Amino acid sequence: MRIAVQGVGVVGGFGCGVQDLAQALARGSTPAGVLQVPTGREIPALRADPSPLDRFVPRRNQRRLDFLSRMTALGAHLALEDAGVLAEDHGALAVVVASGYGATGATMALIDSIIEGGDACTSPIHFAGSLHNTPAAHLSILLGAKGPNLSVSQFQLSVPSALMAARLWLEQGRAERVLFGAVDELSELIGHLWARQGELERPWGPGPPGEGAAFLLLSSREEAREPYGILEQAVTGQGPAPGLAPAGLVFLSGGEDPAASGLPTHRLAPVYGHMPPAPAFDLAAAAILLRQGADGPPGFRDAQGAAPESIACLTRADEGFGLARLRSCRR
Amino acid sequence: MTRGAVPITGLGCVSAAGPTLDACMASMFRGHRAPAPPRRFSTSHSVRYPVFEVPDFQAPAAILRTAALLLQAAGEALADAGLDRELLASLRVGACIGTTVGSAMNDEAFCRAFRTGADPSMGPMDRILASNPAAVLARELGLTGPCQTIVNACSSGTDAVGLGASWIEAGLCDLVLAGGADELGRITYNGFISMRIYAPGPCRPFDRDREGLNLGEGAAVLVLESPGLLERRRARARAFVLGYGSSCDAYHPTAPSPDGAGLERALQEAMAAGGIDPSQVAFVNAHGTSTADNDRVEAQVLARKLPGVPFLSTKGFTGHTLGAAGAMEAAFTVACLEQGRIPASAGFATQDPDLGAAPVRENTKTRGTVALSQSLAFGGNNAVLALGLGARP
Repeated sequence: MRIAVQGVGVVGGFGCGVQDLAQALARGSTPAGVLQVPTGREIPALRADPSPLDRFVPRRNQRRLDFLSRMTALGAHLALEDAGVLAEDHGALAVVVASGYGATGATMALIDSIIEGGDACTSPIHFAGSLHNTPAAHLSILLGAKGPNLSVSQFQLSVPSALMAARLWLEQGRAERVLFGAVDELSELIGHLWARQGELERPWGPGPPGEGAAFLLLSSREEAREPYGILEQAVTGQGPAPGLAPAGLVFLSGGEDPAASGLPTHRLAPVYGHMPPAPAFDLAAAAILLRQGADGPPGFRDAQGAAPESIACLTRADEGFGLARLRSCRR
Repeated sequence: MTRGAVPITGLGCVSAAGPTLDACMASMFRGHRAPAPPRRFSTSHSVRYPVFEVPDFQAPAAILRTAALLLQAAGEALADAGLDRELLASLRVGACIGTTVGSAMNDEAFCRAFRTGADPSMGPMDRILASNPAAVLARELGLTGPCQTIVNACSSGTDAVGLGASWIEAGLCDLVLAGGADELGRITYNGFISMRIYAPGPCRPFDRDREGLNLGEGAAVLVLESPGLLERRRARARAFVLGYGSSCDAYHPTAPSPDGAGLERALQEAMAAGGIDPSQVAFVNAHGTSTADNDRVEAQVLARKLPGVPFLSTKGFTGHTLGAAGAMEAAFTVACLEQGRIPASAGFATQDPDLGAAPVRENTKTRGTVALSQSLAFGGNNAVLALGLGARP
């Protein structure tokens, strides 16, 4: 079955939307801002601004959305807009959302309510917001998406695991379109863990911590618009990754893997930061770069100036791996 | 669309009703239930809201109780299936596990210390990061296949079994350990009480005078096996996953859609996937949380779509175990199919005239080889499993 990437929606430290990410990819990095953690330390960080969501969702309808859900909604709406289907009925749309740490901001607010007011003053709003599937729930309500709905939390391997499910749903005919994405926030808690532990994200290679949402509209149907690329592979498991050839290029998140040895690899963490959704940003970047005419980071083109025909996105964390492969639609 | 049946060759369960699936079933058919105020944590509520705690269970210090409960259920399921680590190492084995708190960064003591400006030990956070349920299974058992922790709130366990079965169907795995796990904790307890859906006494699913849920804890694991492996091992399928359906209400973050349309879609998808006619359904293991909204929507859908089919909620025996519930209830459903009977729906006494249907009041013999197990969740998720009886023991 042909599974195409029809739309890309991203928000992160580099900005918002395909153009901002494409420009950041061409630059090769994004200047980091500063995250003040409650212990008083400051750490470099790539923060996201979800305020462009106002363009899609009236502010009064955002009142119950926390920061994580606003990033989710923005990334998703951008992907649908990019695919040219935002105005369509989304009743049959399936939604798959990956998050490494979930709603840590709402969780802290929930615990704050207990600390400040005692058990009897636990906040029901923050309790509901602290659930891992809250971003997917708000997104489905905003879009009227009534198809299968899945939230996955697998820390650094959340994205590959969720992507496998999205692909399977399309292959098995459970949906013709899946809005797939990943989101994480640099909450006070996660910022503290970064400052305290430093290697929360196992930051192999350069790049600060980041936050944001990256969404792809995956479709198995014939769509009006030319797709970004074809999702040829989406696998995950434990142990070494399977062979990457014939990938023309490898985007690597996490640790090294023997499968990537000898292949031209790029780490894009300097563009959007280290975070569990990074593999989804890698996929978004691959989609953008594979689209005809897009420019890439240094080393993207071969010696003859030709862009690669396919890009493999490899995630390596703990004992597991994730591997997704996008193929260009260029003829 | 009718798809292939996925064999279930092993089951394991631990809950307040018992440390094994057999013990749970025996306890439920005896009508025994023992909700009590929490013993592992204290609160300052004026009411001592009851919980269903797993007694005499101690988790190792390095991992969360959720993960430890899961490992116990997995051990039982693997033994039931006649599988050992040596055989597992030679197979493509996946882990698909539902949870709600098993991957949540919510250690209260750490956050309290952090909030007061202290620099607490990273131990609690390290423990959480080491306890992602599916990852724990993969690590402890040396699994090499796909690994997925599903966080669809209270439908997570049902979704995990359904999605795990789809991995078998797709040929991604020889075998999948699918299930769910969740532990009791202060934060979740306070959270449900704050939402005013927690009963001050034992829960009464589908009863006219129901006042809300009771939380519980536990885990269940189903061994899902490819037909090819089943044949090579000459193993016995206790049951089959015949179909799975899921949907989203897209209505409200915490309340089900009053018309039950989402649950109906999930039900229809599961039955269509299994090629199941309503007349074949022996019984339904309902979500039955004992909240006003859930039970009303669920009973009305069952009255419309499966009139006359006996149904029950087992949450009166186990409490609501959140991300574990769907997997536990799938295991109970299989065991009930094997025994040809279902236990009385604990806590039910008085019919609610608004519901249009009522669960069974006593242990009831069932007819047929197909049953449904369904879950509804915060976020508007609905998930349904169609399960079929395998070869009788």
